[in-house]
Amino acid sequence: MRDKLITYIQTELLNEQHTITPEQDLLISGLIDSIGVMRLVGFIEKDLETTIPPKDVTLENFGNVNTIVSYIDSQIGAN
Amino acid sequence: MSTELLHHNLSATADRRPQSVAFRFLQTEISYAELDRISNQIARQLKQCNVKNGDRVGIFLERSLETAQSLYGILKAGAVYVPIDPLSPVSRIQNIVESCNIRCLITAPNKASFISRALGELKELEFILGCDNPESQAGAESVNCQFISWSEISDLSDSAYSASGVGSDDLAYIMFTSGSTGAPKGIMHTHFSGHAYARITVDTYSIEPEDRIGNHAPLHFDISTLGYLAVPLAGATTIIIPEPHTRMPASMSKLAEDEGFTIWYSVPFALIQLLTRGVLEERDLSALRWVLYGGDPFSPRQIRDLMDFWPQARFANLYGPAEVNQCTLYIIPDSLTGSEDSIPIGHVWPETEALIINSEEKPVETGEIGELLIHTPTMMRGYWERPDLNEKCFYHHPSVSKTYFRTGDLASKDHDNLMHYHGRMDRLVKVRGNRIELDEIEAAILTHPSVVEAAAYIHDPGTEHERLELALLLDHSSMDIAEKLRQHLEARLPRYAIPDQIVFPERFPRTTSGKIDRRRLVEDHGKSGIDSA
Repeated sequence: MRDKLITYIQTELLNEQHTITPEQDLLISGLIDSIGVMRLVGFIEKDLETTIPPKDVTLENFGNVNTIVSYIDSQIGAN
Repeated sequence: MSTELLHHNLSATADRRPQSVAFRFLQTEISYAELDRISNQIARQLKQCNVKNGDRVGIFLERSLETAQSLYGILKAGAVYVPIDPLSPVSRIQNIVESCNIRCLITAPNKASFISRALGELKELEFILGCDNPESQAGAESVNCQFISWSEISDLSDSAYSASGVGSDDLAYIMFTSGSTGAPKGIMHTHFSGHAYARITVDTYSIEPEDRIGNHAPLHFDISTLGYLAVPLAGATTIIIPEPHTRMPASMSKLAEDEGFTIWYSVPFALIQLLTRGVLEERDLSALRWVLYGGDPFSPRQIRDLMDFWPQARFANLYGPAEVNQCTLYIIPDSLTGSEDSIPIGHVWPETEALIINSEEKPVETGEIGELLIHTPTMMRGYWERPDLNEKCFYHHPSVSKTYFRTGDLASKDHDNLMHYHGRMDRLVKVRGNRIELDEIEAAILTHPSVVEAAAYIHDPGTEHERLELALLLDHSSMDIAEKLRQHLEARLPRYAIPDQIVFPERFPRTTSGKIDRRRLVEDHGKSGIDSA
């Protein structure tokens, strides 16, 4: 999932203009805008056939690729 | 000479309430005394860079405490602050730097390599304040530009400093408009107009030292003047909302709760985000006493929903182009049902006069639509080095010898003397001979519960392919209701104003302030492969 997310972010959201690392901040640096966040959430929902509630779309969960993966793992664990 | 200088407001508050928190950003904050001292140091540094009264100094910073320090440092140096959108492409920065002859730019370490690379195109720049030169460590050839870090600035004396010879009619800031309005124009405000805005704002909303104001707008957007210029006059606290929170509504509402916002001011877009994805049912925002919005019309239905979440707060529509800051106010009554057609822009606020004139420049009758003209102390001096525009944008009233700003907005007055907004004059279009108000179409479709945002425009104007189009963002549940939406419009609009086509783009292009960028929407259209109905 980690690699899949990095590929998606680099190709779809950053138009292959930047490469990112799993721990690199995606938001404070301004790398991804609000529309990008919504697209990313849509991508994860489609890929995992799940729904992410708005309350979980936060800086803590979506700050970088690692936190997104931890969040997804916790959700799968919970279900 | 009047003493109504914006930086005197800061120093007076620092004397009165030195330990009160002036600005907060994430876990950091700065008191009025600290802000006063640091801005003294920045002013001294600018003097060492030979900045003279009236010189323009750029602020190239993301949301941070440094934005406030820089702004007041520049004013104390007698100079004019020019905020530059930190996400601008180099060509736009170059445009502003050249047109304003900016020699000094204040920025932050995270911008150092970007600026260093751009210096070839930003030849006017002689001093970069706020970061080290990344090239000098690499041993590269030094450019004709000196870098001065924040730590060097903090070594300077922090005792009181204020350039002599600055009067209230001198320029304080120039804001460049972006996005939807075409070529950038620099709106020049003086200490007098900025102070008048600060003063009337503090009075109108009774801002007290205990207030905590959420500042949603970046510094280059005029809505930021409430947080940066008015709040320090009142001695209250401005909470600068960090960029990432503006993209994460659930985090933004959490911040508003944790920080105990008492006053919110933003464009409708930010409030729509809070409403749709901000999990407001889980947040305690009971401290909110004012919810202010401006910059775009806002659908009554969505305002009603927000009012139900925050019944203790007063909601108000603030109207005013950046050229006059604010000029009208409408406090939305609790009785709002949500099924109203639109929200009035209300009455002029204090010390302000409005005039609505027709195409013959005669005052219109009650109910008639005309161009809205504004006479107010909060009005700009004019556009920076644009005599062509300054010639046209002011109206000199022949009988009362007063100068009005031509807003370019259409308005009418009803029998209660309330003013209503009818869109931009250039949004009044003719399609197949019929006069159509694009904003009216948007307002009509926004009464439908599935529509989140709307933008109406003319596709291929003036050609044989000319047609009226409406782009809509719907909530996710309702993508297959195009026919119902059409019926919804047919029940509300004349036949000729029904769009030829309704399209559903994946997203709307936006200006950096969050407004829908209609110009780009029209340009992008056709290339983006959007679904149509």
